[in-house]
Amino acid sequence: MNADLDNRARDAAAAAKASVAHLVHTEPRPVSRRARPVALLLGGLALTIVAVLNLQTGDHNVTKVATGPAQRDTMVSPGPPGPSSLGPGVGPDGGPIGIPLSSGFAGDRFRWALYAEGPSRNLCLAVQSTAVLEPDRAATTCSPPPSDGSAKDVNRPLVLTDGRVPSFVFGRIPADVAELTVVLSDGTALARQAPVQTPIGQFYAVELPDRSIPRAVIGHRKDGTSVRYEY
Amino acid sequence: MVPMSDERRVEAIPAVRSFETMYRQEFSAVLALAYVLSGSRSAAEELAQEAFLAAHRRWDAVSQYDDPAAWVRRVCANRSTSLIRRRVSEAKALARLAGRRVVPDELPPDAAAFWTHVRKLPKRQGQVVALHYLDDLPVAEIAAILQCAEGTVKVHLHRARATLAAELRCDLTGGEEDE
Repeated sequence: MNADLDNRARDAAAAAKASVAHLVHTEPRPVSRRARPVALLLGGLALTIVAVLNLQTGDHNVTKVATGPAQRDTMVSPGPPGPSSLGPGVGPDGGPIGIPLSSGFAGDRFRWALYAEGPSRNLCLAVQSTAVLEPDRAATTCSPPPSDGSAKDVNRPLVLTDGRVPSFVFGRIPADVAELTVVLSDGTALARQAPVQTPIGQFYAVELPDRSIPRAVIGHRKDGTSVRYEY
Repeated sequence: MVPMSDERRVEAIPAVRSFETMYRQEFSAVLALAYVLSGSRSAAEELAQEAFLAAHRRWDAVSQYDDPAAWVRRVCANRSTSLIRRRVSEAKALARLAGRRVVPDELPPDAAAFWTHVRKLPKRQGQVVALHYLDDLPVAEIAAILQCAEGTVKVHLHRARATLAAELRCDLTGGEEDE
């Protein structure tokens, strides 16, 4: 604490520079705004083909998609580096990494993709920025593998939260649910929306408002009854 | 002296930098500035990239400025305040969510303490200190970046150093001669 202020300040400056040095990207990755929609269109077409091919193999099993409260600490993992590795259902080598279920956009610069991954078909959500210079603003969350073979938590909502991307609540919902509502911790409910129907079940991915915390997802059946899944 | 060829003469004329060139040359410094002003590496990435994005979107105009990098630094410094406020609220919310991604602070304790005190300074004082020590910028350049008078920068720097010295119990001997 006896160090001269300037020396201490310059040491602190050097430490700060060193601490962020690994975050520096030596090359910007400008993307043509005109090319982006075309690329996304082509990507979507490719994903559809991948999905169809995957489904034709019959290699899917929805009962293996599960989560549980005790495992949620391990839910969030940083996505693999680079934008190509986070493509919806497409790995770094361009090969399929799972069954694409749904995809969309969040705000004006993020895209998301919901897919079932790996042999156990864990449910995953990937969110990635499409903005110029933001190749590393991406995050992926997958449901952990089932620990006890129980499917009781198969519909428990999952949350993707990472400071680099918008937050999402996502998950699987029973086939008899026609619409769903996300309820936040402050009691407000987001607008109803229909789940995404796929050959392996119904799913949803809902972008959360800034700084909001989900409390539950309510599934509304056609017969007027509802089912509630707590986060 | 060897006469300069036409080709070399052309190269010697300072040309308007391309955006890519500025990005490569300045991103590291802007990122460090964002880091010390925000106190978070993820926020720093966001701030720095937003600043460069802003420059990219207006590059036709920004590239004509005397120092486009100064404009980027100003955008970054000005946005840091609002982002800090936003991040505090966000952190409180995210802390309640299981499975949040934790990014450890890798700054040594002395450095972390120093920048923590800098962030507690009034906004302009903190910006001046960050620019002064991170990039070793003279008062004139800091004034240009923050679009204020050199005298104002000197006052901010003087007051900030006095506060920091008191907070950190540091010796102020021989500090401001490089203004």
